[in-house]
Amino acid sequence: MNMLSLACKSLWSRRTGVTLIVVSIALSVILILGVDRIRAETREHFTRTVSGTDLIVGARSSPTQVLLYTVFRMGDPTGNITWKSYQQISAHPKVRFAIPVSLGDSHRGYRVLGTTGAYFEHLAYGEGRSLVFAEGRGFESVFDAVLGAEVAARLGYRVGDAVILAHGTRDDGLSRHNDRPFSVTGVLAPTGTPVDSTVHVSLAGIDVIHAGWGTGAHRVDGAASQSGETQPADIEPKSITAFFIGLHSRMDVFLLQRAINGFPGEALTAILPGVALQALWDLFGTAETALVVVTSLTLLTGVLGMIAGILATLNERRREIAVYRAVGARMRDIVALLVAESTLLALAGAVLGTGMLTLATATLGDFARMHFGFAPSTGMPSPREWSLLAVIVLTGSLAGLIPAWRAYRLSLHDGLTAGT
Amino acid sequence: MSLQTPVIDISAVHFGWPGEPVLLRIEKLRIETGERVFLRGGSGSGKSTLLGLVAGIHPVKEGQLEVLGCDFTRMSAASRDDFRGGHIGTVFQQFNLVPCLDVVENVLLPLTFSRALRLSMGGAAVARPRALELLQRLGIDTQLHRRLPAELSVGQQQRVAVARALLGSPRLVLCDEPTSALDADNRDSFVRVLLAETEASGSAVLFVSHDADLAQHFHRSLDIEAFRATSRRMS
Ligand SMILES: Nc1ncnc2c1ncn2[C@@H]1O[C@H](COP(=O)(O)OP(=O)(O)O)[C@@H](O)[C@H]1O
Ligand SMILES: [Mg+2]
Repeated sequence: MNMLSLACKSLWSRRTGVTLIVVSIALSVILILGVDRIRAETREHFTRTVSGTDLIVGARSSPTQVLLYTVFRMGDPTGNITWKSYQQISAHPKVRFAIPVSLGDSHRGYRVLGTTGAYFEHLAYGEGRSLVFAEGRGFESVFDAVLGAEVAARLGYRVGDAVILAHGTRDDGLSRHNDRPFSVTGVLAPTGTPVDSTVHVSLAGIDVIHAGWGTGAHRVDGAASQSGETQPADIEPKSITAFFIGLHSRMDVFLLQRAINGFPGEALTAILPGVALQALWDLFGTAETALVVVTSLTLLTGVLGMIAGILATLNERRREIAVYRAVGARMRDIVALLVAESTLLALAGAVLGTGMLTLATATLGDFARMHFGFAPSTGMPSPREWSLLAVIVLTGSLAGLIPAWRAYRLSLHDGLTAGT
Repeated sequence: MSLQTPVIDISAVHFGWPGEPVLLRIEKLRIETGERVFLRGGSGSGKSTLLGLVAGIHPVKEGQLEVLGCDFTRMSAASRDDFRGGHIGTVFQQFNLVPCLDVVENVLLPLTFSRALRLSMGGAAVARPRALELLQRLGIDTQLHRRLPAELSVGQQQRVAVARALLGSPRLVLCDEPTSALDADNRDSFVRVLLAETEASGSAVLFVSHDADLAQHFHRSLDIEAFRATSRRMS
């Protein structure tokens, strides 16, 4: 029998206590890998809040600001873009698609976004996943609305319900467009992006309800408001808030960005959403560091528990160690035996923890995808996770030096005669 | 007999525990091949300490301490450990066995740590018949072979310990009060079988006990007081 199987046998004979140690290590492994995985997935998901779109164009301001109001629907747009500029730019031969959006209204705390059918056709998120209707379909007439998954779920709307928009972002009941309710024609499946919390209405509808709002007075009735059956394409807005652009070739993105930023008619800013999202995420760098600190602490707790567990058994094993010495074990064999023991414990904890995590992500993955629009990836650990596991096992081994040192001291004192 | 290297040859060895006065002062102690020596003395008199010196556990810096011609005062702790694994068998008062290993595994345990023994015996597969033979001669039935030490009587445990001590046919067997946990019947049969087996393998025996009755089984009897720095027999 070699020393490794001796260590295994010894551990097996103490399996009750050993199981507790292994489970506590496994739990810290789950926490460490789980938190790391969620962190990585969240980052990944965040930086792909929009995909497939090459440029986002808004009125001249900072890229982060354009990103915040166009993608996250946070804050207020700095200005509008004339419909003429939009038409000119979207007619550029390198442009594959353009999605105009108009912001400024809200519905019970959710932002309203006016857009066209192109939004549902071309907007994508994650690894190029396009929007899917959970229920119903896109706009067919001017006063149609399509709800994000969260809006529909929280407010309990179904296809066919009526939605009344409020002017501005605060829905205080005073400035409602009461005269023109929108009817829900579709509900989107969850995406885990701001799309979920957006009320989409047709761009034409936005335009119609705002006709006459320029002075801030509530319009009681009007010709346009009456024409509920008007097709969206029939109405041309004067201005929009921003637009998303997809190109035929990604190679042209900088060319077009430069052209738009220097657009002669109007001061515009074109941003690369991926780059802007990455920059925004980096603002959260400290939060990531905090997560790393917390996970390191869980590792520390797991390892301390293991050290305590091994130390607790050491006293009653003094006789066993004296026997090893009597049959020729050198001091370094005793040390190696205890380090092997803690390495095996850490290894078992790592295997158990990884297994449990894999099982959990595999079983909860579909649930998460359904409710949050994204889920931690399953399958084999990533290279990063392998190195995390290696660090955990190595920490366990090194921690084994503490009980090993104690065993060394005890054995040096006991010689061959412990407990007799 | 005297032409052969003595099994133990000690001269002018002084030993004291760190920070304490000298405990043992051994001017001369020689044990020849196959010799059985009885060492008696009261509790706390230094008998186990002396065995620890001969086993190479405690470092000796002064004088000369040779076992089978190897001078322990000049060897590193690790090489003394190697030497012990390969050439010295030990049996203690109690708890000689590793609790998580069965009887046969316990007998083969020295192979785990001693490279010298693995070389001389040729690995566990080859050593196994020797282990089984020893167990049989010591009266440990086959149905006990898979048992853990806790499932054996103390007498049986001590016999298994003897089998392990004799596995590599060592030239020296050290026994530290191996009978003190046994009742009278067990004690006599244990000593008989121990001495028969050490005789069969040609091992010298240094046997420590405070039980003077056992001295009759040995060639020679020593008193630890002869090796103590300060005599405890005060008038
Ligand atoms: N590891 C040790 N460190 C310090 N003192 C020890 C140690 N082992 C034994 N002693 C002391 O050495 C003396 C002799 O002990 P020991 O050899 O065990 O006696 P015996 O075996 O004859 O009963 C005792 O006073 C004991 O307290
Ligand atoms: Mg003693």
